[in-house]
Amino acid sequence: MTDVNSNRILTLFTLAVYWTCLLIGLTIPWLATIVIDMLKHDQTLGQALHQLRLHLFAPGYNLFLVALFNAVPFVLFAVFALFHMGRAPVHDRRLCGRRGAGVLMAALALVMFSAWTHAMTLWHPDAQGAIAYLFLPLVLLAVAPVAYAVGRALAPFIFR
Amino acid sequence: MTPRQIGLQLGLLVALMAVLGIVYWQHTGVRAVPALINALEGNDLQAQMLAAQELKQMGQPAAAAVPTLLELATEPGRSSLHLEAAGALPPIDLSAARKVMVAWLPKLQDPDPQVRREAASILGALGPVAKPAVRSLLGIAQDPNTIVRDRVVRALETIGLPPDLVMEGLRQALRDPDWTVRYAAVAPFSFGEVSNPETLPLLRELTQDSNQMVARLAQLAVASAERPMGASRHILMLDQGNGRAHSLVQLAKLGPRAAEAVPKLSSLLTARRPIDRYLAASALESIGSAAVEAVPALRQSLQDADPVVREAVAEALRRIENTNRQVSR
Repeated sequence: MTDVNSNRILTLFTLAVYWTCLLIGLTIPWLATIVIDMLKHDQTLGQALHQLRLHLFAPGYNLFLVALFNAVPFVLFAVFALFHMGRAPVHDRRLCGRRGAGVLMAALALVMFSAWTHAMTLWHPDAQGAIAYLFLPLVLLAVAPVAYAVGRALAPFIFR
Repeated sequence: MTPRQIGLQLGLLVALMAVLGIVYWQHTGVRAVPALINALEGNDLQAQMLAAQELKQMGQPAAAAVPTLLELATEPGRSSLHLEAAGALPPIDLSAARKVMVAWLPKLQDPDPQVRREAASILGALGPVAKPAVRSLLGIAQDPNTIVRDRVVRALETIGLPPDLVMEGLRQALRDPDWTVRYAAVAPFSFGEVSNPETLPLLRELTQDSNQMVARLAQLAVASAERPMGASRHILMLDQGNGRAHSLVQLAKLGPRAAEAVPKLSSLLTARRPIDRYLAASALESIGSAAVEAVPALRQSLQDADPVVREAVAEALRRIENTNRQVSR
């Protein structure tokens, strides 16, 4: 019975991480645009959404493409998390806890790093700003394993 | 999780990616044209301007938008929209761009300076296609209104052709009593644009200009003129779709010094985009007698599908043959 419950919890956790990574990865550039428009340019939510819609495919902005590009490392990480957590031995709670901490830490690092980069690029607009969008996926791919390792290393202190 | 559950999640991910791909496909290329025409016909200025920019980037596949762009560029309305609509036309339809030029040319003589400066800006937005408007622009180069003179200089800079007339206008503007006009005139010489020996003394004078911004820009222009760039860099750029138009104008500005580009320019007379064919013919025209080996290709291009290209080809042939005749005498 306990194993069945643990299996359910692990499946739910895996699915939550998987879909959150996919959707957040895709929407971070759009959310950053909306938030910056509201905070910096004093727009209402409606105006910010309108701006987002106008610039999704506009030359020089291409926010749709920016979102797809940003989502690449998130998709790769989500697939990794799906296999890593989904195929984890349910009976070995310690291992599951370690893997879960690693995955959570990596997901959090990806989200934070990506959101911060997008927000700063929009807050301090610059002619070379688009370079950040090109390099961000590569940087995120490097950040993910480091954050995962940190998460796993911290796990014993969390799951005593 | 069972392998089946994992497979299901991967399948959903593939489906999501397919949906995103379809959305992107639907909103780009020729498929986006009807929606962009709708945006042009709407009342949202920003949406109209962005739609015009997107259509400009598409080029010829956006031909369905020409009537709407033509209307927006010529009918009374908001000047920023006139500019965007006019600027979008050359890559899509050269003849439509010429119609905009014809509509705005008489307005250069309008008694209202605001109309004159808008006319100059719109002719500038048309770029090299507005080559026949250069003489009229030079006609108001001494306009009493400073902003009109400033817009004329900027228009001459973006039209760029024919290089000798444009250079004459820019040289005049380098001596303008107002510093903003001098600043606009010196700017094209400061960013790697083509200079010539007659301009260099004027640029040197301007390094002592009473206005610091003009003086600093003139120093850059002098440095740039002392290290003239050859045609080879622009020839290399001709193979890159995005920078091709700019490189063709630069080669035209070099005139006979761009003779080594003649074979490449001849091959571009059959380029897919009419704007490239037009600019290739214009560049050959400004090279003059040194472009004699392009004559057979130019003769074939007299049958070009685009009337504006045919006109440019005929002008190029006339110029090459005339200069050759003068040389042989």
